Amino acid sequence: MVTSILPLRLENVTVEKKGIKLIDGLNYEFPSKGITFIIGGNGAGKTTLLRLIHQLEQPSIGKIIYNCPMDQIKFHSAFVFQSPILLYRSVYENLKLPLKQNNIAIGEIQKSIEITAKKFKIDHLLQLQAHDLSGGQKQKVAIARAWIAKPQLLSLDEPCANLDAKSVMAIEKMILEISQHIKIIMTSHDIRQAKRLADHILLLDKGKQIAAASKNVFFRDHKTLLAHNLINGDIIC
Amino acid sequence: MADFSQAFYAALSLIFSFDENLVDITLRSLYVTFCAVSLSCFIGLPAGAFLAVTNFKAKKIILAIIHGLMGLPPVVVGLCVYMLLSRSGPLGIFGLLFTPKAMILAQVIIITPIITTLTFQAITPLWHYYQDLLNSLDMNFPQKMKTLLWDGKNQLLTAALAGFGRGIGEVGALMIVGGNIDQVTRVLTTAITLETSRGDFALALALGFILIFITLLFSIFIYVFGNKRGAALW
Repeated sequence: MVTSILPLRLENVTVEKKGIKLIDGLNYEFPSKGITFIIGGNGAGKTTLLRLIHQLEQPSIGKIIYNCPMDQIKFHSAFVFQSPILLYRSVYENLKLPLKQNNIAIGEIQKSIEITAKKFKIDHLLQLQAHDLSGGQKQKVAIARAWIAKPQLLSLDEPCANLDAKSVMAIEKMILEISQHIKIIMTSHDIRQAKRLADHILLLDKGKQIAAASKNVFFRDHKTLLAHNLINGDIIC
Repeated sequence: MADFSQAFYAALSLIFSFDENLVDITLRSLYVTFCAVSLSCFIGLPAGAFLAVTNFKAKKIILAIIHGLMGLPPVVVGLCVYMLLSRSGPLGIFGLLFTPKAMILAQVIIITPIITTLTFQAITPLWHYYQDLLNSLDMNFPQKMKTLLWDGKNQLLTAALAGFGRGIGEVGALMIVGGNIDQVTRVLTTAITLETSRGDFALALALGFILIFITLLFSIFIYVFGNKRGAALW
């Protein structure tokens, strides 16, 4: 039986480094389905929160409660970093990495890569060196690599940062499509992107939770000044 | 000048006639250095990668020591190995002194710190770049090391070739522990020293040409592989 990593709950999670609180007493339960947007300005704690969820960092206080045993968390989840980290190998080899890590049979690996490459429209890039690709293509490969092992939870850290409009559109289309199958947690500065993609929004400021609601509620009942400014001015400081 | 050109032509004729003595010395040089570099890579590559990936209290001290060992005077290494392997030394019972094995041992001591340091320098930025990805994939330590060593292979080849360059040109330590015995421990560098002192400039020059050719060949390899890829990262 496959256990589910979700629901995922933060209980009084605090991260403190050198006396500075990067995350400050967060209590939140991530919905089991759809796309949850974590929005906030620089230093709001968005990336730190994703790193905590993926156990790349540990909370100073509090805990993160997963539905599955701790040793299965990384097996069921995948992380796409803001600057895509691609191996100095071909795109094919990059896609192969998580499958090999999950001990998938060689015949299956080949098949999975072909299917995924077609799905993400990167089949023409398979034999190219990953580091020779454009920014948008690299991000596509990174997302495809995260998706290929069929995780239950996919975290995307500002996946559209530094991309042109055309690439953003392609990535967003991809995200919407894969969100039909897996839970996505995504960070962004861009409130318009949240409007387009999000099902739920968690607004952070200086590590603190300012607002958390479904998209419709968030945009209708923005109670805090920050949320108000964010929605009306599209600028977060 | 006439002497020089005479020696030059004599040297070329020795090389192109595949003089038996010349071939024997060249092959022994390559054998000793290849063995030494292989052993040094066996020790230095994982050691350098380990130091790049791990953090512990004494790391800076160990790195400083290894860095310092890069500048070890070969003659002193030769002397220490001689004392170790001499009949009255702790390893005297193995009877390795004045054998190619002793020369390999001396070269390993000279080359390993170079390969370890260069490996550390190559793997450190790669580890900083890959760290989050490999951790998010839940790789264990050996898997991380394997990935880093594989993806850093061009830089590591450069490290090995740098070690080879240092080894093939070594003379002091090899003279002491090998004894420059004809057809046993005579290598290019020790033979050049001997033939020069004997006044056989033709043979010395021929040996010198071969040494330069080998060194140049490996330097070209270093240049080509060092610039082939990863310029953005390293």
